[in-house]
Amino acid sequence: MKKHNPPIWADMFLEWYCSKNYIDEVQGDLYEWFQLRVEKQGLWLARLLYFLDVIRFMRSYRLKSIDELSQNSNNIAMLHNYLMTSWRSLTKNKLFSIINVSGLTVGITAFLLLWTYVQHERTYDQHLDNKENIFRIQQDRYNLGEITTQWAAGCGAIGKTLKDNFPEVESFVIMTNSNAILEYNEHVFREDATYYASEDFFKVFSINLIQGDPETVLKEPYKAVISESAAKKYFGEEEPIGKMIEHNGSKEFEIVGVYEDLPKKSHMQADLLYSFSTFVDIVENEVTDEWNWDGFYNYIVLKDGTDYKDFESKIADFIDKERGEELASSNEDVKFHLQPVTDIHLTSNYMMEFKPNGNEQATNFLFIIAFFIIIIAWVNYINLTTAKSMERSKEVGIRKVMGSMRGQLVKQFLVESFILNLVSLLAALLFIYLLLPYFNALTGRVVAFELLDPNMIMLIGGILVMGTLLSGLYPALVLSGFKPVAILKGKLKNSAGGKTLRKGMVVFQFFTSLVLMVGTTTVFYQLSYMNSQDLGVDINQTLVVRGPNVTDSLYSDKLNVFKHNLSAQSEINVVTSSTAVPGSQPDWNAGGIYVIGEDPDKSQQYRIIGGDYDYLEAFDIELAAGRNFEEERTTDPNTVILNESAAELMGFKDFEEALSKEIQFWGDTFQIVGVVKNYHNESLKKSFEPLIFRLIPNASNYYSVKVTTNNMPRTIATIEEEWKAQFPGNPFDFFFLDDHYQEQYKADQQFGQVFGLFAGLAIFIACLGLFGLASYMATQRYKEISVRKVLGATVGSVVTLLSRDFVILILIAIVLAIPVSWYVMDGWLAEFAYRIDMSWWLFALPGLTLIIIALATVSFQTIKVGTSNPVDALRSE
Amino acid sequence: MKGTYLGEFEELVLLTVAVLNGEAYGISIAELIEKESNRSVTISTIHNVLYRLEDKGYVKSELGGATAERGGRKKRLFSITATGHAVLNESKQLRNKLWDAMPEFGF
Repeated sequence: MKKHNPPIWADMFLEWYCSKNYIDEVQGDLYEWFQLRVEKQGLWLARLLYFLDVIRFMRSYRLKSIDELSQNSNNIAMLHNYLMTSWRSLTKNKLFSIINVSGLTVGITAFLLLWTYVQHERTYDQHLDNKENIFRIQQDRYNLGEITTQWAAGCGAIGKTLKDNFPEVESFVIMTNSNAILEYNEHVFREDATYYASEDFFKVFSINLIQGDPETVLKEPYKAVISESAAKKYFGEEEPIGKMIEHNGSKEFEIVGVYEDLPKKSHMQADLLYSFSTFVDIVENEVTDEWNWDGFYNYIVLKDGTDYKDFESKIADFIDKERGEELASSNEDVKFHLQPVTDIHLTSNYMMEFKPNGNEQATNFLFIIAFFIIIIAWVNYINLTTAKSMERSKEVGIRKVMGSMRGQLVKQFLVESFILNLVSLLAALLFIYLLLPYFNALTGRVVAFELLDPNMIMLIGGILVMGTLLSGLYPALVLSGFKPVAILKGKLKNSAGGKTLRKGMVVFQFFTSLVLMVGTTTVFYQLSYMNSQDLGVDINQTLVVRGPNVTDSLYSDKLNVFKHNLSAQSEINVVTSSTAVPGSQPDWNAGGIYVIGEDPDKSQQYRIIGGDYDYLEAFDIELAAGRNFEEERTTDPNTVILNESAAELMGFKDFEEALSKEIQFWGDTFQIVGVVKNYHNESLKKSFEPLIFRLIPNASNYYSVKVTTNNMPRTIATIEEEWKAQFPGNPFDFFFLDDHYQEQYKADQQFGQVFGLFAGLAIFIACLGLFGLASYMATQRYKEISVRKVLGATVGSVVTLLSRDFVILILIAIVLAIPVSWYVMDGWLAEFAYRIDMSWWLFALPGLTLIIIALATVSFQTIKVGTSNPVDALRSE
Repeated sequence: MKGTYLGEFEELVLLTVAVLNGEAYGISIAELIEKESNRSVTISTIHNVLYRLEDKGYVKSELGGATAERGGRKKRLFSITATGHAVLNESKQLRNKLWDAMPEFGF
């Protein structure tokens, strides 16, 4: 009869756990029993039951004991010994251990926080199923070979044209924003994030449609789908489907679907989507034939495996062929680029983004800082441990004499380093949980730290292993390499090579700290520079009310009453209505404008601000030539005012000369009546854009109220009351213009703060290391100092002597850091049109601060030694 | 008294050990019990009971008798001790006494 074997895995398991005191009888009996079972119950069942029996036999008394385990392997006994020795040495040198652990903890905390943040920024729009194939078409317009506008939302025609002409394009979506005041049963809100979207929206973006049919919801005109949270806001617990929601008091949309809120980590933000066919119906224009009407997001889905860079050049050829002549005739050009949907958040910053995107450069900066900080922390450990090596050399000598192998010594030091790294890591994880909310407040993002994420586990494991090896291996090799005879004879001195390396690492730490400090100083100085510049426009004491969307035929009259009644108040100077206010780019961009009598081919693009008679005066914008709009002149609606930049773009050297000229603007003729001085309509990051002011007395986008009041709440109440009287049905939304203007710098401010915080941490870690080194040096030279003091050295001279070495190192670090930080920060400043120069004190100030901090750190130890009684040191021996 | 208490299954195993007379080990005990009482037993339970009996001093054991079908592993052979005998005896006496005291029934 063929002999059958029990399952090998079960057997191995049994042999693994079972003590040798029991293995014979248990395994023997199980074998016999198995053979009997095979005969009675068949092989398959017998094997299964064998396995169960193995598990049943697993009782605590049958498990291998610790002794049994360690008898098998000397390593385990040694490990036990390593742990014990490490623990002893760590507790013996408490100060060093604390310095090491705190340095590593701060380093790992900073690293992991920054890493999480950077990962967050880099993984937007990952929720989309087909993310590799979804692209947004970004559009650049050129005039006379120069870029004039760069759009996130391009012209109406491009998406559909590509879909119709290229088999590579599977589907497309066109979207455009709708500023809306929505109303349902007394619930009235202004909604900025509502969009018209074409019918394939839910096909392209895998956004979960909770109710409604993804194929048809956006097909019919005057249908809308609403996000879950917006549905709650308007309808509460009621069923949203079938409800009619009122749009700007004039149109009604039927809700036909509800979708899950878009994740925060998406470049897109939309609370409500209307069918695009509605938009077509409203503007009575197919839109998808419009090559010159911008402001439409076009998304396309490419077939799997299409190279999008190739396809981009195909688009260029296609545009050239189809539209080249027409574009060339007006000296224009247009280029389309494909943006992979997952790249948009970090790389795209063009006109009409859904929301402010991230900054790739800043993110990369932080990523690099993260690595520098953790390296500084590791360097600390290396420095302190090798510095301590003299003290431990005796231990190493004795161990070697007793027969310790070099490998075992290396292991011992690695275990020590592992323990330190592990403790620091655990402390760091705790800190991260405590600090994450503050960090999120600082960065303005909702970053989640997911400890159990497989990548995070790998990263943390990596930090532990790298930390142990990097920070432990060098000291381990140095220490284990000592010659026992030399050590025990007392001949050993720290090698010159070791000293140089240690100095090199101190230089590295301070070099990094200084670069970060210079960076922080530069960022904040640039910010304060921008804030202190004269903007050329008065944005203080200005309250801006967002104009009404729900209006009727009497709107102009009501606006006049509104202005009149408010201006009559003593605390209100003037009310001006306009299409744009300082602090953001005017939405109105117009091309094809040229001076009559000049070559129409030289037409250009301008930003247009429409305002009433009071606009320029209210904002204190100065005239360089000509006059303001005047109410008495009936021809003024056909006039324009330029800013200097626009006048120059039109080719006027002398602004007076412009005053007699007329311009062609979308088929109408406008007389130039004035030129205003350039002012910073937008942040100082940008240079002056060419602006044209047009007289639009009843502009309804913004009402700016200039106030002089001691009681802001009362003034606001007055305005609100008047608002409600004239524009019922419109929510009263207002902001302060200076806050609005500051918003432009928010990202830079956050960057500066984060930068500053981590610069501070880097310095802290570096100083911890310096403190450790100084205290070590002080003990080493205790006797020397005492002898010097006996011979008449003063405290001052001793402190100077001990500090001198460190100061030299820091000076070297400063010398190295200057060119590097100059190069890096000059690159950062290049983004700003109006910027500070990298002056000498941007380096001197941080450099001096660093020297002072370092000296203060060192002086704790040097002064202690310097003031000690020499007798204490010299009497023993 | 807890120390001398003998559970039902323990008594059964102890009896089997006595019956097998020096040839008692996990498998032989299990086989005999299965054959005589027609109940199925698990081998690990038998082992546990045997160790318990050994702790109480009712059986003693020695290693021996490796065979090929055991993968060359030795058996732990159990035999009953004098105390074990006494306990079994006591238990039997108790039963007999109680049987005798039972009134006659007219079956």
